[in-house]
Amino acid sequence: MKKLVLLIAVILTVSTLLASCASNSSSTPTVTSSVTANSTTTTGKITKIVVGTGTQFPNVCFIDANGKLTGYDVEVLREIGKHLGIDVQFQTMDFSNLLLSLDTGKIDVVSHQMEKNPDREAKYLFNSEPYNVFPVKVTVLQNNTTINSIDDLKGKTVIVGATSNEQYLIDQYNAAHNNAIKVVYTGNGGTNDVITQLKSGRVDATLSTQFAVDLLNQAYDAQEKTVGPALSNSDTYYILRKDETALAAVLDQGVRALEADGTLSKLSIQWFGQDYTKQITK
Amino acid sequence: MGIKIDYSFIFSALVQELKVLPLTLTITIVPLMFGLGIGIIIAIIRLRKIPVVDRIAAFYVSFVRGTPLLLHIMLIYFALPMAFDALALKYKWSLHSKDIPIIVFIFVAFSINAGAYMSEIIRSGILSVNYGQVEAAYSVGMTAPQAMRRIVLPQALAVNLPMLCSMFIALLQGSSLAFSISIVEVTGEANIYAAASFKFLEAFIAAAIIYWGMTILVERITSILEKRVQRYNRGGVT
Amino acid sequence: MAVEYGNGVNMGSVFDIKLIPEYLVKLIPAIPTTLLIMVSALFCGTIIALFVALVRLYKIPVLNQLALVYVSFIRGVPTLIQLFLVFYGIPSVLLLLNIDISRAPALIFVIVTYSLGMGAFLSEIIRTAVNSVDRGQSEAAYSVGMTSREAFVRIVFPQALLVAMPNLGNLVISSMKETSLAFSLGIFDLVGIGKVIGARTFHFLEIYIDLAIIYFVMCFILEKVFTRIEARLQSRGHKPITNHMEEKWA
Repeated sequence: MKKLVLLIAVILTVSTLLASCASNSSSTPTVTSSVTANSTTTTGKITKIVVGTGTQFPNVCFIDANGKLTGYDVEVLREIGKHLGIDVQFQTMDFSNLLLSLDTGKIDVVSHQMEKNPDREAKYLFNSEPYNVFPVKVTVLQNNTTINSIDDLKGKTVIVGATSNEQYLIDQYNAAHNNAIKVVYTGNGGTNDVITQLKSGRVDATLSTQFAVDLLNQAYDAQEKTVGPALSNSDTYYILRKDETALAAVLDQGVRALEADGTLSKLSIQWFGQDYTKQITK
Repeated sequence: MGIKIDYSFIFSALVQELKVLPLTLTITIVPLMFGLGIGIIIAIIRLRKIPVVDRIAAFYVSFVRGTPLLLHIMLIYFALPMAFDALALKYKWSLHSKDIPIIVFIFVAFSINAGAYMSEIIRSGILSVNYGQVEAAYSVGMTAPQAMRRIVLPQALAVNLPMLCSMFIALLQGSSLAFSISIVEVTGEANIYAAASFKFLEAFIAAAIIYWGMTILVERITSILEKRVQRYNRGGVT
Repeated sequence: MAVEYGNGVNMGSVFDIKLIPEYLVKLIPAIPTTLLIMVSALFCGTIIALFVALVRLYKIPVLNQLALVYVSFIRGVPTLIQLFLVFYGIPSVLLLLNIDISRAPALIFVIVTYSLGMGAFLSEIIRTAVNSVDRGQSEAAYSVGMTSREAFVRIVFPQALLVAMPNLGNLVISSMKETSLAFSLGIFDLVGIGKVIGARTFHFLEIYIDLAIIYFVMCFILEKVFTRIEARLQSRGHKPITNHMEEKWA
C-alpha cells in the first residue's frame, strides 16, 4: 500500500516537473507572461503594452510553421514597438473574446483588422491613424452570377464570424429589411469553414475584403470573388479602452512613422501581395 | 477599472437564450434516445459475445470513451460529408452532404458518444438482474429474445434510471459545444446576443443559470420517477 | 505576386493521409501542456475535495449548504461556461477587493476551473466511498482500542479507496478529456495547437484524427494504470469483485 502511494506520488511529481519544463520551452508560441496592468510608468511614458490578436486569420495574425506568431497586424505592431522603444507583447485568443479581454483589462490594444462601427465607437476608443483598409464587400463563389450586391442576398444565407463587423453589417441590414437575410455563424474551422460552406453550397455568400479573397484564392483555391460596392468605411484601426487616449496617441505616432519611412507599405506588399495602404482614405 | 454587472442585461439575455432552449433540448433528447438504442444493441452484442462484431463493438466503446466529445463532433463534421459525398458520387444519389442540415451531424456525434457510455451501464445493469429471472422465463416457455425484452430489460432499465438522468445532463452540457459547428444553441446565442453590446459576462451568467436550472429540474424529476419505480420493487434486483 | 506564407499547402479539401503522421509529430509537443493542466487540476482538486468531503460528511452547518450549492453548480453548468465565468468573472470580482489579476496567464484560470470541477466530483466520490464502508468496521476498530485516526487510516480508508477506485479512474480519464476545452481560453494545448496548424493549412480532418489518436492512447494508458491499481488493491484481500454472471449470458 505504501509503495503504491509512493509510486503514484513519484509519477505525479515527475510528470509535473517534465510538463512544466516542457511548457517553458520555446516550442510553444510566446504568450505574455504575468505583467502588471499598469503599462505606464509614473512619469506617464508608456513602456510596455499587451496586444490582443487572433491566430486564425491567414497572413494577418497566425502562427507560422516554426511556431512563431506573425502576420501583417503582428509585424506592424512589432515595428511600431521598435520605432518607439516600447515592449510589445502579444496575447492570442479566439476572435470573439478580443473585445471582452480588452474590457476586463487582460489586454491594452486589440489588433485584428478591426473596423469602426457605431456599436464599437460607443464603447471603445479607436486610434486616429488607420493602418490598413478593409472594404467589406459581399463575397461569393466565382461561378455565382446571381448575386451582385447586398440586396441580392434577400432570402439567401450568409455566413459571418460572431462578434465581427460583418455580423454587425448584416444585423443592421436585417434590422432595416425585415430580417431578409439568413445568418449562419462560423464554427470552429474559422476561415476554412467559410470556404467549405460556400463551396458545398450550404451558404450563398459571406462578407470579406479583396485582399483576403486574393490570398485565399491563391493559397487555398477558395474560388471566391467580391461583388458590389464596399459596405462600410474601409479603414482599420486599433481598439482601446475609452480612457486610453495617451496610448492611442502613441499608436498614431507609430503608424505615422511607419507610413513615413515606407515600412507600412513594405509590410502590406509582403503579407498581402500589394500595397493596400495607398487606399487608406485619410 | 472594474466591470459593472448589468443585471437587466442578464435578464434580457436570459429571455433571448430561453428562445433557443427547445433547440438545446432537441440536441440533448434525440441523441439520448438513439444512444439508448445503440447502447442496448452494443450491450447485447458484447454479452452474447457474437464473434467478430463483439470485437468491433468493444473497440468502438473503447475509442469513444477514450476521446473527448469535442473531437467526436469535429470528426463527424469533417469526415461525414466527405464520406457521404464520395458515396453519393459512386452510387449516383441525388442527395449531397450540403443538403444535410448541420444539426444531423450533432445528432450523429452525440448519439455515437452517448451509445458507447450507455452500453457499459446497460451491460452491467443486465448483469445485475438475477439470473433466476431468466430461468423462470424459460421455464414458462419464453424464447431468449422474449425473455430479454419482457423480463430482463425492464428490470435492468429501472435500475438504470439514474444513468439516463446523468446521461441527459452530460448531453445537455455537451450541447454547449454545438456552437463550434455553427449550431446556435444556448451558448451560441449568448455569444451572438452579447456581441452587439459586448456584455459577454452577463450573457454567460444567464446561460449558466439556464443550464443549472435545467440540470436541477431533471435531477428532481428523476428522483420522483425513481421513487415511483421503486414502489413496485419488492426485495430488489441483485 | 509572391506572398510570403506559412505553408503553401493547397487546401482543396483533399484529404491527404500522408499528413497524418506529419502532423502527429507536430502535435506531440503539446502533450506536456495538457498533462500539466490535468495533473495540476488533480492536485488542487484533491485538496478542495478533501475539504468539501469533510464538510459534507460531518455536516458542518453553513459550510454544508455551501458545499451542496458548489457541487450542484459544477454538475449543472457546462465546462465551457465555467471557463468563461472564471476567466472573466473572477478578476472582476477580485477587483472589487482591489486585487488585480487580469494579467495573470490564462493557464492559471484554466487550472483553477478544472480544479474546481475536479474538486466537486472527487468530493462526491470520497463521500460515497467513505459512507459505503460499514459502520461496524469502525466500531470494531474502536473496540480493539484504536484511536479514531488509526481506525480511519488503517481500516476505513483502504476499504473506501477500493470502492472509490473505479470511479476515481473514470474521473481522471474524463478530466483528461475535459482539458480539450482549454483552447477556448487561448491555451496552446493539444486542441489549441491543432487549431493553429489547421488555420495555416486547412487540413482539419487529418489534425483531428491525430488528436483522437493521441487522446485515445493517453486514456488507454490511464485505464491500464487504474486497472493495475485496482488489481493490486484487491489482491490485498479486500472485497473481491468478480463477475460470475458474465459466463451465463454467453
